[in-house]
Amino acid sequence: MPHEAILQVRDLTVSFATDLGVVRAADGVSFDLSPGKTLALVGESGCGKSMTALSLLDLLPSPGRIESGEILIGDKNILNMDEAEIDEVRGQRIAMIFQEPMSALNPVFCVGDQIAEVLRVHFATSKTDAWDAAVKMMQRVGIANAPVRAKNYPHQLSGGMRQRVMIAMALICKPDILIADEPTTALDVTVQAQILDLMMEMQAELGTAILFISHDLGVVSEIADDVMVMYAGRIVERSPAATLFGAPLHPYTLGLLQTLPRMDRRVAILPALPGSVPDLRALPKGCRFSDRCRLAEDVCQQTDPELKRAGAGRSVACLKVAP
Amino acid sequence: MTRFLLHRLWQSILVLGLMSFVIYGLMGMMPGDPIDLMISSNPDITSEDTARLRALYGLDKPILERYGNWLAAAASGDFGYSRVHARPVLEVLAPALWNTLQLLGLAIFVSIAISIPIGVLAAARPYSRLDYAVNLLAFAGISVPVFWLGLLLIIVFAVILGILPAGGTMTVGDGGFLDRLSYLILPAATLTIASVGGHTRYVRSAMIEVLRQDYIRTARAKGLGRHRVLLKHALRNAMVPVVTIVALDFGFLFSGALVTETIFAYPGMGKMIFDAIMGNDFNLALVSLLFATTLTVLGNLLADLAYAWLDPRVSYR
Amino acid sequence: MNAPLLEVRELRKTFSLKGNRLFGRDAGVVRALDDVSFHIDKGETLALVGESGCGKSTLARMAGLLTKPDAGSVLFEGREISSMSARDLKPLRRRIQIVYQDPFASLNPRMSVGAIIAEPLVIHDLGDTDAQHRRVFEVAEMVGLSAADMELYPHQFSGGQRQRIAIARALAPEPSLIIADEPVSALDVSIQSQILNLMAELQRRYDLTYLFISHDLTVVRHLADRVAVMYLGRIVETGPGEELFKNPRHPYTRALLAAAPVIGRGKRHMGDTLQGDVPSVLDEIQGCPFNPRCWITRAPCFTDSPELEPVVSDPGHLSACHLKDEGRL
Repeated sequence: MPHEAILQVRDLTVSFATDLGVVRAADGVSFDLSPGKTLALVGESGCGKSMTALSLLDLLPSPGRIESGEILIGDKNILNMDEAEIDEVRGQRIAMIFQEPMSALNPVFCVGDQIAEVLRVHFATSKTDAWDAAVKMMQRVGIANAPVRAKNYPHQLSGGMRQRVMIAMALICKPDILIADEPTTALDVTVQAQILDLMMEMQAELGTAILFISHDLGVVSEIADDVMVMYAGRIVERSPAATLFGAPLHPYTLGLLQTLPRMDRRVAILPALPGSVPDLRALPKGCRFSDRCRLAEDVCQQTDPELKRAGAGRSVACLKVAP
Repeated sequence: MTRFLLHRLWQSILVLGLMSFVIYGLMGMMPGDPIDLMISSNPDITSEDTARLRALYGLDKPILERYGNWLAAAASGDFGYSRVHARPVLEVLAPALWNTLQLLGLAIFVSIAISIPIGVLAAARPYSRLDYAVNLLAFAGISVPVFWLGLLLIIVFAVILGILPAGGTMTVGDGGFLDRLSYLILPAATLTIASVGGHTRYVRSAMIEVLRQDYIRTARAKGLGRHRVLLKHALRNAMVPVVTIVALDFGFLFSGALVTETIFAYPGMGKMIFDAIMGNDFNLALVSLLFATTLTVLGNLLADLAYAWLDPRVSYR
Repeated sequence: MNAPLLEVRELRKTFSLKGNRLFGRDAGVVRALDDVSFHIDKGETLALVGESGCGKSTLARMAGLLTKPDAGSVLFEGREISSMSARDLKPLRRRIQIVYQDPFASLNPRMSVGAIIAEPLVIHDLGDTDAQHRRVFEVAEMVGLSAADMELYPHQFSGGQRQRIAIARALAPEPSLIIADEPVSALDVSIQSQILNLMAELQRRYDLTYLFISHDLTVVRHLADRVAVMYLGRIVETGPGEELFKNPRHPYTRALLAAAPVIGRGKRHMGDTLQGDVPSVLDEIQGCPFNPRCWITRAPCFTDSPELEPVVSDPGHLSACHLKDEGRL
């Protein structure tokens, strides 16, 4: 793994206690984030990607808890920090933006105050200085007429503008890491393009490492350097973006790419993935994907594959591909 | 905003006008009139006297005409005479109103001062032991009948312990501010206990609802710290429904005050309305009821204004 | 020449926002639909594409006979229906069915699946109880549900299955036109294709006609024969799907295509992106409504609002742009 990794996640396991026993939303997840690079975490609903992201900032909703693992920033483990230490990390070293910008912003405070607040809390900046910095940041993220807009409330802004405000709020302390949880899913497609451009621009300027979470493979292919595919709580494949989309290794990744309607080709029938995402409370024995996999054999239902190296910067968890 | 206020003012006048007609009519429909009371209290009264008195008071005219006369007089500021107290209605009303406002003001103030912190604490730790305790006490407060509570407090503090007075507003000869306060404590405590339970639960559920929202998660992700998130980001949003409810409560508490005032022989509006109706003191009853209506309408208006002030999404432009 | 199954001509619909009516003021007028015309032939799929505020939902509701237009006409099988009485419209309603976006909100949670599917038959009094039961089982099978599923309730099914139920409900009264309003947007990726395949299959087998609304160009490309692109209450371009995607003749269409993420293109280049926000539906714009964001404007774009007219090279391909016939956009 590269030395300059700014965040190292090792064997992270997030679990929920349910009536039917303990459910592992994320099971043994490991990855690194490097400065200036974008790592995408891709998967369908319920695969555990959001839970993984929230646990990086220890923001799991109860009854979720981090069962085991390490989250190392520099050489400190976030999971060993006390509340005050983590509060210092949040917003300042690791920042997060969410999917629904309307509900993610506090409706009773103006957006300028919400952005300035981050500075004031972390750097004890004065009110006026923080406000000025907030307005500057709003200009930087492309909000026209920023001094006036800063006094607006969230409901007075469009969806695209609100997401820009979220980005401004997240990046104003120049964090090392930005976690973006489905940041463009709720936006119109032309606005989505603008926001993706903005994120790439800011990354180039600040050298931020981005963890980009999405279910949209198209968006991921345009913004990610590396991609991790998640299924039922496990990482099943990790690859640089070019090779993942060009030559996927894991049958699930392959199935997903084939089943998507594409802009670059048109087929009469989309080869569908049979079955559906498993209920985490009743996982198939052995490989979690075995009940839907074309390549499945007996051994797949007995052994749970581990993530193994499979080429330059690639790893895959499949007994057939990487035994 | 001015348009909105004018609009509401106009609405309020309409409501009050309608209410005055309804109350007047209802009272008119009650059996018996002041003259009957005079007859039963003074056996020597002659039928000529009764006829003459009826004509004097205008009680022989049809009700619509009487209402019209009343309305005309009221519009010019003359609310008539209280027959029982033999003084102008407003003169009788003013001190009673002031007493009730003191009582209600104290009760609401203390109730809010208790319910907000307790409600916030309970919401911050839902389903904990503290939360269960708070809920239990809240339900107790809601369930306890006001009159029973008042009597209980009198027995304990005035009779057994003898530290607080059982009724009235002050010791004879005006003992000063602290003295008057001591007379307010028990009746205010009764009203407070009756309403704090409900208020606490409102605050708690409003806070719980707010704490589930995405923007709270964003605030935590910014590194703002639990206290700041709770007291600044969450509370401000939770206050919106709570303020609305409390402002509406203001009008509602009037009826609670009636029972309390009767038990504590506290000369406030509630007691006065009751006595006026029972004594067929038409003018006094009518005007006091209208006052109560006005305060309720005012409470509603204040609630709407507070709502617009607190929540920028609401605008009355 | 057969009349198109559905045709709309010069539809207009405005909503006025509530101002303070007591003092006689409107807070604004929303031009949801501004002179919209299109047609759908029997057996084809027309896709309506656009971003928020473009009016596609209002148009879908109008085609679904749920709203009446302020001006213009809606013709079904050549007959003018927009001014028909409710009584006369009723038999037509069974011929036009709607499938909605949210599979969790469009099914009554208190009705069994069988009852949900049977409801249109009951409302339109189609057949006796036995015939209705048979039909319910028939359509259930068509969409891949079993007879046993009919006794269950919606909450017991996944999103994809619920959408199948919604499709079965739409198919039950043997409609001619199905209006699908973002039917797969709320579904997981691996389920989307199942539903899209199902819809294509059903269209082939039963000669259905679809009015398909979507914001996702990849889905549109897969399913649509013809596409209509909407912007601020107008159709700005319409034509055969393949043609439109290969050779867009309106800058907005071009911008949509540039913005749509494509797998296999590598990381995005910043530069092709359309600037500015989707404008507020309250704004009144002089000339072409796209001119605030357009990068190829000329003088007439600011004064004359362009009409939807055929492109020189292809009469089936229409565009509302003064520059539609000029080289590459």
